[in-house]
This record gives sequence, C-alpha cells and structure tokens, in this order.
Amino acid sequence: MSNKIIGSLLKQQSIFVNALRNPETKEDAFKKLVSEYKERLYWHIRKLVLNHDDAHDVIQNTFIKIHLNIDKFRETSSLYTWIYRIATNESLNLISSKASKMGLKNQEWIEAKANDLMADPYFDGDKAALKLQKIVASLPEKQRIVFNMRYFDNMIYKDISKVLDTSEGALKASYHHALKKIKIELNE
Amino acid sequence: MNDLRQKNPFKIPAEYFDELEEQFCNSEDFISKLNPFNSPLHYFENLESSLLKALDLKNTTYKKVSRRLILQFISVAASILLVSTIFLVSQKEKIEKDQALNDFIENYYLEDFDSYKILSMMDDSEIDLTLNQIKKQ
Repeated sequence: MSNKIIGSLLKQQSIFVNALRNPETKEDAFKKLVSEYKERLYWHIRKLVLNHDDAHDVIQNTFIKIHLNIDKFRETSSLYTWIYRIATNESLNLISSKASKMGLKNQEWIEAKANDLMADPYFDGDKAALKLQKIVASLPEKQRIVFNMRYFDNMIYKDISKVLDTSEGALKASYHHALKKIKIELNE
Repeated sequence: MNDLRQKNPFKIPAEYFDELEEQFCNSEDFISKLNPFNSPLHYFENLESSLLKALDLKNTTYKKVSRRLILQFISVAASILLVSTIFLVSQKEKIEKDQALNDFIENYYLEDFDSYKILSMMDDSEIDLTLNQIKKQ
C-alpha cells in the first residue's frame, strides 16, 4: 500500500476517533463503529468462545470497553487492531473466569465446549466441521487463536502481531505447528 | 567456521512460504473454511440497540456506584468524627472532674483546717517524730 493511501487512511481514522471522543458526536460515531465492526468482531469472538451466549456477553463487554476507554487509545496503532485486541482479551478473560469457576484449566473448558457443540442450536456444522472444531479446541491457546485469526478470519500476520503483541516469526511458527497438528489429526 | 555456519547458502523462490501455505491450505483433502456456527435470527439487526441499552445501563450503574461510594465515604467519615469527638469530650470532662476534686481538697485543707485539727488526724508516733525533728532543727 502506498504511503499516500496509508496517510489518507490514518487521517480518516483520526477524524473518526476524534468524533468518538467528542461528547457531542460520540453517540453517532459509536453507532457507526458498532455497525462497522459488529459482525466481524462477533465471529472472531464466537470462534474463540464457541458458544453464542458467551460470544454475546463478550461482544457487549468489548464495545463497552471501547466506549469507556476511547480516550486511552493511542493513535500509533490502528483502531481495528486495538478493537481486535480488546475483543481477544475479553474472550480470554471470559474463558479463564468460566474455567476457574468450574475448577478447570482454560483448555479443558474449551474442549468441553467443543464436545457440546452438536447439542448447540446455533451450530449447524457437519461431522467434519465438528471434528475440526474439536481438534482446534485441543490446540494450545496461542496456536488456537493464531489459527482462527489466520485461517478463518484471513488476517495478515502483521495485524495478528499487533493484536497479540507477538512477533510475526513466532506467529508463523505457531500457525504452522497448529496446521500440522490439525492435518495429522484429520487424517487419523 | 562460526561465520560459515551462520550464513545460509540456500535460497528459495520469492514468496515461497506464502504460496506453500496457500497451496497447503487449499488442497482438496484439507479443511473447509465454511463457518459452521450460526447466530439467532435478526441477531445483528438487534445487536446495535441492545449494545446501546447495555451501555446506558452500565453508565447508570457507574453513576449509582459512585454515588453510593460517596455516601458510604461520608457516613464513615461522619462516624469517625462523632466517635473521636465523644472520646475527646469525655476525656476532657474526666480531666476537669479530677482537677475540680483536687482543687476542692486543697481549698478544704487551706481554708478549714487549723493546727489542732491536723494534730487530731495524726498518730502519737507521728506527732513525736515531728516534735523531735523540730527540736533538732
């Protein structure tokens, strides 16, 4: 992307962020933000927490946090990665809190959720899709997040790196490990 | 040797890994990218309004919490002030009572006692001792 286009995008973002910060324009700007990001964020969260009700709780908390903390957003990063970071952290917080309430480790909780997917009214995948979800749930947390973001959300490593605050090299390694495990498990 | 070990003499075609990944992921035997999850009917249409409602509630809760906190703080401060005032007043009263008693006794001795009264309150041995001391002086 040329510097001119990047500059123009940053300028647009800065105008939008200012609108979000201004008490007079905040409500309209926030509505625009919700309308722009709601679906993308929902699916990102849903793939991490697996269940619709949990995803709904997380998306609510995410937008509330964005609304309350927009003044803390440093415009050195893009709004999109900042929002994704909040959504990812909120998803992980929900998983940790629900898992600890049940006396489980995070991964055990997510694997239990994946095992319950067939009974979920909002899951209409076939046996292969269910198998894939179970395998993805069995991956270590970081690999699972990276795999979801890269494979299903088609995010580029540069953006994932900003969201997860991890180097691109480490992300590539995580992704390839995940992919390898998934392929082995699917062929079993 | 170390320099030679650090230099990788092998090269790969440009964007080889990206292409490899694409090739790998898109191979027919690999997994579907179709989203197996779905959401309730009209969920996204209603999400916006439910979010704004949740935000209003959250803001109201924050206000209520902060008001409640202020009230709690004020009541704790008032209680501390009340207790300390009562404590100080009662201490002052005690000191004043002690002082008044001492003053009363002192005045009583000074004003109402003569030497005969004092002698009547003393034992014989005490009187002898006092007289001997006076003689020595």
